Parts: sequence; structure tokens; C-alpha cells
Amino acid sequence: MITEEHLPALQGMFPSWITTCSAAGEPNTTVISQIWYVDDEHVALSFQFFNKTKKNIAENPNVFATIVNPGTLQMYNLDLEFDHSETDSDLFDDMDMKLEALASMSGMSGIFKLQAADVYKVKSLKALGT
Amino acid sequence: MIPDHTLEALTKGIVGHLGSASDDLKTVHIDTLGASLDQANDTVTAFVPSFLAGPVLENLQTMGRVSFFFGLPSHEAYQFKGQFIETRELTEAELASSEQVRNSLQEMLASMGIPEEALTQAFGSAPDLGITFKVEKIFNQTPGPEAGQELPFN
Repeated sequence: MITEEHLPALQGMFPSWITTCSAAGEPNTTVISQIWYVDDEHVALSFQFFNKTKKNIAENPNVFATIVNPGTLQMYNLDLEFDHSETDSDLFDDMDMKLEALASMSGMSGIFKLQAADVYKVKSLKALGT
Repeated sequence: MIPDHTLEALTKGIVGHLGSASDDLKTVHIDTLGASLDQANDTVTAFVPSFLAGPVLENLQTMGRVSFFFGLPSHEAYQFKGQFIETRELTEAELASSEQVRNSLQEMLASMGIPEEALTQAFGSAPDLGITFKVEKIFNQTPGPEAGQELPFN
């Protein structure tokens, strides 16, 4: 599903955006710094303080996400389904290290603390406009 | 009344995404390029390209719930939530306002070294449709510990 073509859009050069919804159907749209490549069928989102997103995911595992290739501005829409959270793994450590580096560069060290790496199954991936 | 301090981000913010949900709880969103408001009636009209709006409109016509995230390059951002009212053509003033937002975004991306060809392809189609909704709740979305906090409204 995820191929080399999509990897530049999963490097965090540009923010990504996601929409979730509650069990009652109330949507919530927000921007996140990065969607992380895990393998060709999974991506990860950092759980820091996206309280509404996290609450929605607990009620309804479906997520719609958009990522952007920073070289071409090609956007891709992904249908995701929450799979599991990791708090003690290489993926978690990689995400934690990068987020801490970003936070310290912006003078917000300690604020953007990673609480979990949330792993999602990619159900579909389409280039926008195709 | 929609708070004044959100208006700069609402009308000049270069980042905008309007989300919706289907009756089987699947979500979609669409990029927006600018918005206008009727402060007296607490309604907002987000500007979108109609050729990409199909899935969002389908949800809005069945479920009607809207989430609208928007922000400035400074990262100041908000999310309005509310009820879909209608779609309509954009006015001349709204088209001009959207064009300004589009130009600002293109200039910012060009200054980051994004190739001209990519900019042309990404911004070749201007918004031509307004999605109007009644604002019911407002949330702070500026990154940080206060993100997600509901702001006083009405």
C-alpha cells in the first residue's frame, strides 16, 4: 500500500492533518506535525495532547488523514484504522527522540512529551485529484 | 458573536481544513483557502474548490456536522464546530479574498524553495464554492498544552 513514492510525505517536512469523529458523529479536524511510516501497511501518529482525537479514537477507530510530498506538493488521502498503541518500542523511541529535538529547537522542550506511538492500519491511500 | 481575536486567522489564515463525518462514522476533509463570516448570525463560509468537495458535501447533506480548522503561519489556530447550512457561489469580494490567501501561501512555499511547477500544479484551481455553517463551539488549536480548550462563545 505505502510505496517509495509516498515516503517523502511521511518525513514530517510539512504538517499532516487528520479528521476523526465521535460515536455520535461529531467530526474533529486537526493538524499534526508528522505521520510516521511503520511498514507498507501501517503508519503511526504521535499521542501527545490530542485529547479530543484520542477520545474519538477510543469511540471510533476510523481516521481520515492527508499527507503532502514537500517536493511536489502532491497530497495523498489515507483512510486509517486504529490498531494499537506502543509505549516501549523502537518506534516509540524514534518518535520520542525526533519530537524532543523539534521541541528543543522551538524552545518548548518538555512540553511536547510523547505519551504513546499510536499505530494505524492503512485501509486506502489515494493521491488527491486522481 | 464570534470572538474578534479569531478573525485574523479565520479570514487571513493560510491553513484551513473543513471536516465532516458520514452516518457510518467515516470522516473526510477538504482544504480551504480563506473564509468569510457573518458575525451577527455566527455563520462562516469556507472557500473550497467544488471539484474536490463531493465527499465532504455528501456527508454534510446527510449528517450536517462541520469541523473547521484554520490557522496562521505563526501556528495560532482555532477549530470551529457547527451545523451545515448551505453551499453557494462565492461573491467577487470572497473570490478576491481567497486569491490573497492563495497568493500568501504560494509566496511562503516559494520562499521555502518549492519548485514553481509544483506550486502551479497545487494551486492551479481556485476555490469557487462556499460552504456555510452555523458556528456553535470554538476551540483553541494553537500547539501546546492548551490546544483543545474550548473558548468562551456567546
